[in-house]
Amino acid sequence: MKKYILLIVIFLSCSVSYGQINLNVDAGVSNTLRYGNGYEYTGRLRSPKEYFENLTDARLNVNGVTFGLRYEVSDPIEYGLNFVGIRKRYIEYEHEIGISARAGDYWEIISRGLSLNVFEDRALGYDTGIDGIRINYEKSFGKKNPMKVKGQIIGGDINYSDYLTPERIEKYKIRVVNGQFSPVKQIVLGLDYVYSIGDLPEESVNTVVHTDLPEANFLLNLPEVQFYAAYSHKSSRVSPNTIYPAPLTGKGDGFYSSLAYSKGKIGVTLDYKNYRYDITLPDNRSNTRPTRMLPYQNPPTAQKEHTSTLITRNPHVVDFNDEVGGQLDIVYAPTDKLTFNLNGSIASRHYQYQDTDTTLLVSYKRVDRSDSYIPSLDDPFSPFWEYYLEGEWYASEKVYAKVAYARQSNTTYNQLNPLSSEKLFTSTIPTEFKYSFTKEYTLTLISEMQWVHNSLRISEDKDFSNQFFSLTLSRSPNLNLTFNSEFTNDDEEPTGKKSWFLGEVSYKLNQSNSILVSYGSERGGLRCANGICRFVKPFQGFRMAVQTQF
Amino acid sequence: MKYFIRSLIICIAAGYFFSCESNDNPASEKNTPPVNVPANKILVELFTNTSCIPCVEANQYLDAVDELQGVTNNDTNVIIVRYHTTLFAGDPFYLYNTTDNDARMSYYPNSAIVNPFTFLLGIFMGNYSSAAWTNKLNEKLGETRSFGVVLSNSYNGSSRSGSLGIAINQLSGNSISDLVYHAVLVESGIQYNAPNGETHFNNTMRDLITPTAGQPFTVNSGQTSNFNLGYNVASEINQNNAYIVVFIQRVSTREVLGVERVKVN
Repeated sequence: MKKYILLIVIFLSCSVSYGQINLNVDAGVSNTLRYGNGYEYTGRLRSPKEYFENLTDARLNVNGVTFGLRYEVSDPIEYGLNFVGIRKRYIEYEHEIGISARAGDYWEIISRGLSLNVFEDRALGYDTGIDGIRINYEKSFGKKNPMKVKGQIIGGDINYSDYLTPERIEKYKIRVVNGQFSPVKQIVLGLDYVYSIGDLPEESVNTVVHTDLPEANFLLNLPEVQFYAAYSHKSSRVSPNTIYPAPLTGKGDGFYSSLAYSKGKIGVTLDYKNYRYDITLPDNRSNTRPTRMLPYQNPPTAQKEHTSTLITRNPHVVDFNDEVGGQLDIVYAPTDKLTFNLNGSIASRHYQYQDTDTTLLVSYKRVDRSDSYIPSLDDPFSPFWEYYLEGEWYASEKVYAKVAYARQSNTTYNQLNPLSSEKLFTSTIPTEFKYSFTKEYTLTLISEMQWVHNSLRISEDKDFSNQFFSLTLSRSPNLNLTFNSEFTNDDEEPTGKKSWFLGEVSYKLNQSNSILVSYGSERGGLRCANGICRFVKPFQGFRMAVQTQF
Repeated sequence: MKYFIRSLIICIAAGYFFSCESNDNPASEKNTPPVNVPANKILVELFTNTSCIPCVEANQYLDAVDELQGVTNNDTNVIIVRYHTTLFAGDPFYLYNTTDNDARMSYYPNSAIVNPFTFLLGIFMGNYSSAAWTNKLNEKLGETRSFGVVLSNSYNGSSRSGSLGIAINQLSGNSISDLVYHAVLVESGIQYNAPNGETHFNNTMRDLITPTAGQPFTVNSGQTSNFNLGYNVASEINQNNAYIVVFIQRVSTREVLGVERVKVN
């Protein structure tokens, strides 16, 4: 800590002493305080839950040199391991000739993330940030039709805390070289190469994995058509140890493409994914396998990310190691005030498997198929599909309405007992109405109805329904009063509850300072962002968040 | 001759004297065999649910170990306990003893929300992968536990009650302050048509005979502590398929230091 302060003081002193003539200083601080106190539910078991997290992000720019740090007090933390101290720090420099450098902590995405996409999501307790160095260089040649080149070098360490067992920390030393070349404005060609050495704790043994991960990508950007394609190939070499006694090399690859067309009132996007980073037999699939897709990769999910509370409760969790599929998204806006959205997506595993052993032991054999580049809706492929229709209407300055319908089907295939596979069908109708009484006061009503059929039930009744209602009174520009309620008639709800109620008040002191307080019960469930999912336990109690910026 | 007799008397007297060495945890004594034999038995604790599909593969794998199919280098030395969770409602094995299942779910974080969730000697075993699990089990089977456990059981099938003699010997290492031992009644061969298609349930935890947090005790290296535990077997449990698993655990690190199993009847 003392070292950092001393370093900053020295840098500042240097800047001040040499920059007395043209000293240009800019500083910013943001602070987020989160506190929660109540009970968390594990089934019907209730246990006390408290968290106190305060994140202070400070940034100081002196003549183009930026110093930044995050001081964090997470004691106790909501998810993960407690921490008090300087969690992030960096120095960044940008020169007008096109070179920039950042030393310290940073996040980065290369192209669409097939080979590198590191990010932080506090709500999920997820952070794959790099601590190291990043050097960028950008240069344009010519003036009328400039040719552009961009180069990037990245090197550093990632300490990834497994969210299920936070004390299990995977360590990666990562080296990246990335280049982009744009011969004309409409075309961008990208090449990058990622190399890492991973140190994965497994019981009392650490497994060392050397990974090579080259990627090539292409972007065509015409006025009405955009086409993007990326391919990456992963080769993971596992050094022998007691858990993996023989040398093991896991090879896999991933392909993603997106074709978008927009003209006038219509926009169409077609996404395709074919992720095969670690296709393996059903009895060897594991999120802790050293040859799996690595945590610093995070390709596009190629499926719609919903905002509806009830639709997001049953998300399809993308298996980047073995999934093929895509989505079609159409947006049609006949007028400025009316918009329609149609989305359909489909995904499945690549292959089905057969158990060839007749004893209690299991020995799987893959059933090959030549068309594994397209998804299958047969149960052994654990298929997922959904379609979504939405209409949005700004009826007047005072009235806004949105109505949608979503139908989803998700099958989890039971390899050993196929008749007991889980088939989950949901139909959801989310609606939103907003009415502004005056310029100051607005009332927002969100109502969602969901019908669920789950084949895997103990009772004969496989159907149940959920309802969600939210009423918000807003006084522009600073006050929101919200009341949320949720109901179910699910007799197999793990907590045994049938209803949840939550009150929330948010108040903006000004544009950059706000406070949010809530009290009540939250149903919990699976929460996903960018294909990363975690199970959030039901919570009952008090939450507070204070955000300030300077 | 006199010299020989005198020497013999001295030896016998010395034997008696040293055998009276103090024991920090005196308990009602039973005739237990010596426990200073290195033990390499291992404990696998699996959290599962009857509606959990990914659990089927893991359970099948452990069934093969339990039925000595030759999955590991020494299936006999793999002792399994399966706890049933609240991940999906209505699991009859969870509902049979909610208090004790809740206690183990609370002790191992996230075990109720991610199934299967498995611990080998108290340490997270990684998500199910048959090849990796076999190697992990073999690795631990090749090591020696620092605690030896010897059990002597006396059971009356008519009254469905028994008495378990437990001798725990610390074979190596420093003194540990937060030791507990657990005695767990498990049942195998239970028939039930579960929603996930499983029909045969083995090593199912039925009762924590010791307190839910375990029975605290102390022992020093080279020393043996003896305990005696009375227990009853509920009428719903098939006493002929029931076992008692005793294991020693560090409360703070969850590390399991020794384990043994005995058949009830």
